[in-house]
Amino acid sequence: MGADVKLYYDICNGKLSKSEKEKQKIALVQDAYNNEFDKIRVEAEYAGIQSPENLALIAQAMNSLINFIKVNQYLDISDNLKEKINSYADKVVIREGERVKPRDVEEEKDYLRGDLIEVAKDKKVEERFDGIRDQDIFEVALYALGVEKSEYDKREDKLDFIKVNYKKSLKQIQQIKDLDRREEAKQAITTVKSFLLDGSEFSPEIIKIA
Amino acid sequence: MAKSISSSSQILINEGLQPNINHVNKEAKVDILDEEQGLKSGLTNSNQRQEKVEEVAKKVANLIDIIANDFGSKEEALKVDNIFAANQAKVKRENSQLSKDELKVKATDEVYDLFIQEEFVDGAISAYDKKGLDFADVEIRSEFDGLRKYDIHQKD
Repeated sequence: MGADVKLYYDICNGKLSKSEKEKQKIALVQDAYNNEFDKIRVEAEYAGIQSPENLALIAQAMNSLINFIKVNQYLDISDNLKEKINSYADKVVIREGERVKPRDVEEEKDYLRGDLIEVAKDKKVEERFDGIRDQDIFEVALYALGVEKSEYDKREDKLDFIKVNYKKSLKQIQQIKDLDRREEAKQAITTVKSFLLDGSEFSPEIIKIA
Repeated sequence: MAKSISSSSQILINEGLQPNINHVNKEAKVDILDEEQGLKSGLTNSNQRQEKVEEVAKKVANLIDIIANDFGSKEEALKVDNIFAANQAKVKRENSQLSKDELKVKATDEVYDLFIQEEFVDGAISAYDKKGLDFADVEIRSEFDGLRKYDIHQKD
């Protein structure tokens, strides 16, 4: 998928009209997912479990991925597209590939609960970004990413702004020579990221890195 | 439960004699006690879990009632967003002194705390079932529309 993502960036940076760009991005994502689909098909064939039903399920998963991208307007968010595609592709393939790899009822329940928890975490993130939750800790977490609260407040693209600064912090951490310190900083920044973007709870590491 | 006795005691019983209970193998006694203890704690755990499932089911049933009342149809409880909305309404009734933002945060936390309980899905299945709904039909995210339902029901 790496080459596809590179192509995606090329499209983003190219001189295409908005609608052409969107069409190409959708086609690109569809191609990328088709590649994954082919891999699964070959694996299923090799394992002797290929069936029209399996393939229909996986094809359905692919369409859902496209729908997901449209719904979430990922067309205009280049930074984490690869991550999102992979995570969502994993999710739908696991979910839809039940017949390829059967799961029992208890696993299904865990999966359902996991999806519900994710929704609740998303709500927490929204509330943090709306300025109605954990504001003191939120400010410290922003500071850990090198962002002043006043600067953050001025931004309209708050989510992207945080994502970009998270990536910048990661790059800075890569330059730390002491391996132990680098690892410690990486863990701390991951905690900050989880708090800000994944709806996780406050952790003392946020204070530590700040 | 049948208690095990030592072979020497069995011989005495067969011969019409009273075995000395002190002859009973001490290790066997300990085994019996351990087994009984294990079964008791197994039952206790099972009962505790069932109690938690019922507790969750009660909370979920309450939310379904709020949804049916506020949204005009119990089927609206099949949308996760409405579960959050119903809990906000519940929190508002219980905490009239809180601000709008505080209510929202508290309500989200409560739903989160409900979801993370291991017994949540079983409790929800039970509550939805009692209202004539199937929790497997719950709509979590719009992008999941059209995907197959969660297979969360025990097969006979």
